[in-house]
Amino acid sequence: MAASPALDVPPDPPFKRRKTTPEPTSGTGTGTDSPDDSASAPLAADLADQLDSQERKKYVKGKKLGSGQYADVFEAHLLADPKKLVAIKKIKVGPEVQEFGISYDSLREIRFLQELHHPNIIKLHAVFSTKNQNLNLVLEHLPQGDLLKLIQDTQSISYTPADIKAWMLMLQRAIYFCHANGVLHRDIKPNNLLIAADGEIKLADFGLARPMADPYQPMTYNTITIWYRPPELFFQAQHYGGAVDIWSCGCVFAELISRDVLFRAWPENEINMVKLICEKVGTPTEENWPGVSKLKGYVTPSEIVPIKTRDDWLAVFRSIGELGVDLLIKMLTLDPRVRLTAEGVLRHPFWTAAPRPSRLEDLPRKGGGVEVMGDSLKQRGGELPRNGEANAAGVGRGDKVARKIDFGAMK
Amino acid sequence: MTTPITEDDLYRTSTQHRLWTFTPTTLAARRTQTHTAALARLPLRPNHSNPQPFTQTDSLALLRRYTSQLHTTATHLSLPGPLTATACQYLARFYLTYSPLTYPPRQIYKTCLWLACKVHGTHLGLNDFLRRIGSEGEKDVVLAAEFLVLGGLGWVVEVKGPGQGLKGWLVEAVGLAEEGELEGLGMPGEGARTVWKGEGAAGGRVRAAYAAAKGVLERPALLTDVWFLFSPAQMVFAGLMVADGVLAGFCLERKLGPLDVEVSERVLEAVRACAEMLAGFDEGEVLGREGREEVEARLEMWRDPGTRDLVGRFGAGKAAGGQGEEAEERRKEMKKEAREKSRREGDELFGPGLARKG
Ligand SMILES: Nc1ncnc2c1ncn2[C@@H]1O[C@H](COP(=O)(O)OP(=O)(O)O)[C@@H](O)[C@H]1O
Ligand SMILES: [Mg+2]
Repeated sequence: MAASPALDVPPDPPFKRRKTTPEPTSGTGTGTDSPDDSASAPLAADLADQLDSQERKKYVKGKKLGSGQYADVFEAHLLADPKKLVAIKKIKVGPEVQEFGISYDSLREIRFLQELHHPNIIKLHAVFSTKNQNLNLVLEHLPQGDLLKLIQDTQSISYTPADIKAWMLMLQRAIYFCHANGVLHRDIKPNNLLIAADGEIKLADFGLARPMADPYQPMTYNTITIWYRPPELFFQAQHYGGAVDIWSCGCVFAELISRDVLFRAWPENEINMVKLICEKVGTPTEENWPGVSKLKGYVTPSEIVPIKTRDDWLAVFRSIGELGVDLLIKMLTLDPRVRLTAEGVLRHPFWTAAPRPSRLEDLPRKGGGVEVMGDSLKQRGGELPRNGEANAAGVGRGDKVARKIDFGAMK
Repeated sequence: MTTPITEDDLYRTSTQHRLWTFTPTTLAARRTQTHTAALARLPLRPNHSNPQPFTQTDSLALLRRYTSQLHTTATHLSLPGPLTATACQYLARFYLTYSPLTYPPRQIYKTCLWLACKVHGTHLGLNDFLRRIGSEGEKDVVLAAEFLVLGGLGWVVEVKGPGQGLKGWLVEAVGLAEEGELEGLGMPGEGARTVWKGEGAAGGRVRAAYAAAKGVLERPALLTDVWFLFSPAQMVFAGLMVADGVLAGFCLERKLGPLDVEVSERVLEAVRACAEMLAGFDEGEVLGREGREEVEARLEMWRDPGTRDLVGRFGAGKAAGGQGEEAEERRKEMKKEAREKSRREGDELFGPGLARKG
């Protein structure tokens, strides 16, 4: 079985081997090449298999980091250098594979992550498959959890407007880069913003992404997690652009400030979402959004709420400052043509005005993964794992943060 | 803060540029290497009873035939141009990794098209897809080759083509025409493929050149090696050269103006070489049905017998999602996880999960 010269291809030129290796008799009915063998050893021609297994053998798999609806994610380190950590995202193989094969989500994620290289977008190092056709994505290791965990941990994590500015700036740079590359993300929300060991924000989960300009087909409006979905999609616009991502970013911005989901419709359905958007932003009408009434799904509550004033917004989000509120209003503008573009957002004076965005090392973080846990066990009361005084409003959070063990990451 | 990103910078980091672009020499070397490696695995050798080997030339001819078939099928299904290009490039790239001797294109090309449909988000069900290409009942075969094909592509799925660049040129050139910049240009040269004969305004000339270039960049581009050798931007101008060399030359010069002479020379040379390949494509060189059958008969005689049964080796039964215990186990596990997850998170904490249907 598999006594084949192909085991030496590449990099050895195969013909060198041919002289010394007896010709295999496969295919002549000896039974040694029956299909069943494929599971146990690579067959003659499995060049890609060999590349796959070369890739696979580079990593030593460790504990599970987390799991989502579509994947289990494991920690792993390089065999050649145990200090180099990666995350291996193993795509779950569900029964739907029988129906259409490899999922659209996985293909999309691979497609876009392979092309987009940016400090604030999660890095895809490699892809490999295993013999029983499991798909594995080797991703950069992001041990600090996601932004949602920070937002929700009101007990032990506090953060400042400067921290929010730093996080949002990283997100907006990632989005600007996506859009400049003609890619819509379409699933921006706090739990898809992962945090690197050094505190850097990494946009992840490109399972719903798509190119902006494929004008040849109508686009689905049934995308983006409902709470972060812009009004044009509720109204079933079939052509849309980068503005949909900007709305989601606006929702994240507001959520970071108030530590609550901005449009938390309950029960979660489209009607309630539209109602909530009308209540909090104002009712979309022909006056504030020319053409809106012609969209297929345009329905609003009969009582028209006038567009909220700057003072209305300030009353809720004053803590981010006037410029911050100005930016927020422009990101959550109803008419997608008037809403800021990704570039427009980055050109807004908010970013360069005081306070300056926090430095990475000063950003609050949640304990996560083995290292931090180990550290925190070694620590004694009062010892800070990081400089907790760096931010005025962050006083006292450092120790609490370090003591808090992220049980989510240990499962 | 917002450094403008030029298209060229973006292209330089693309997988197409880094992993799937060659010089004529490296491309030929890679093909030879693949062919030689495949031969080395064969149990048969040419001898007096089968004196006609399957050559690298056969291999290229057969692939060209299947690329043509893919193109025709995709056109027949009214699939968008970029999708068609992706499918054809998958086929071309796959056969830089494997020889037809190992996996004959007949077993592979439908999977290339199916994967391209998925990557381009065509929400065509597999059964529907198969019915429309007249291949009902081939579901297992098409799916069985998915991992094989992607592995052969080095798991690279993005293919960049000239379509968008050509549209960009159209907008720019229409602008130039409206500003009167194109007045006084000479007539299209001998052999130009544009239908424009000097009538009407310059805008008409631009649109005619666009249409001709589009045609060249659709089919001939896919049936030659230009995708492996040139960038999409070079292909755009090469297509325009073939369409209306005078107009293309004028526009290209404007674009190159600010570049230093050496760079401009290099670009010009590449565009000319690409245009030559495109113009030189001869539809008559694509194998007809008989030619294909002849080559495939020989292939059948020589092909690697160990890789014949795709479904047996890679089919759905092999996947954990298939039938059998492991799959059952997996399904139970998924259900349990989903239950636990919703309990853990409470229904309020997260937005509702999106139903990510394929
Ligand atoms: N690169 C990574 N580093 C560390 N943990 C990760 C990484 N990627 C994902 N995770 C963890 O795995 C979980 C599931 O990953 P995700 O990509 O969201 O899968 P899904 O597509 O199934 O939602 C995440 O919530 C996170 O906890
Ligand atoms: Mg996720």
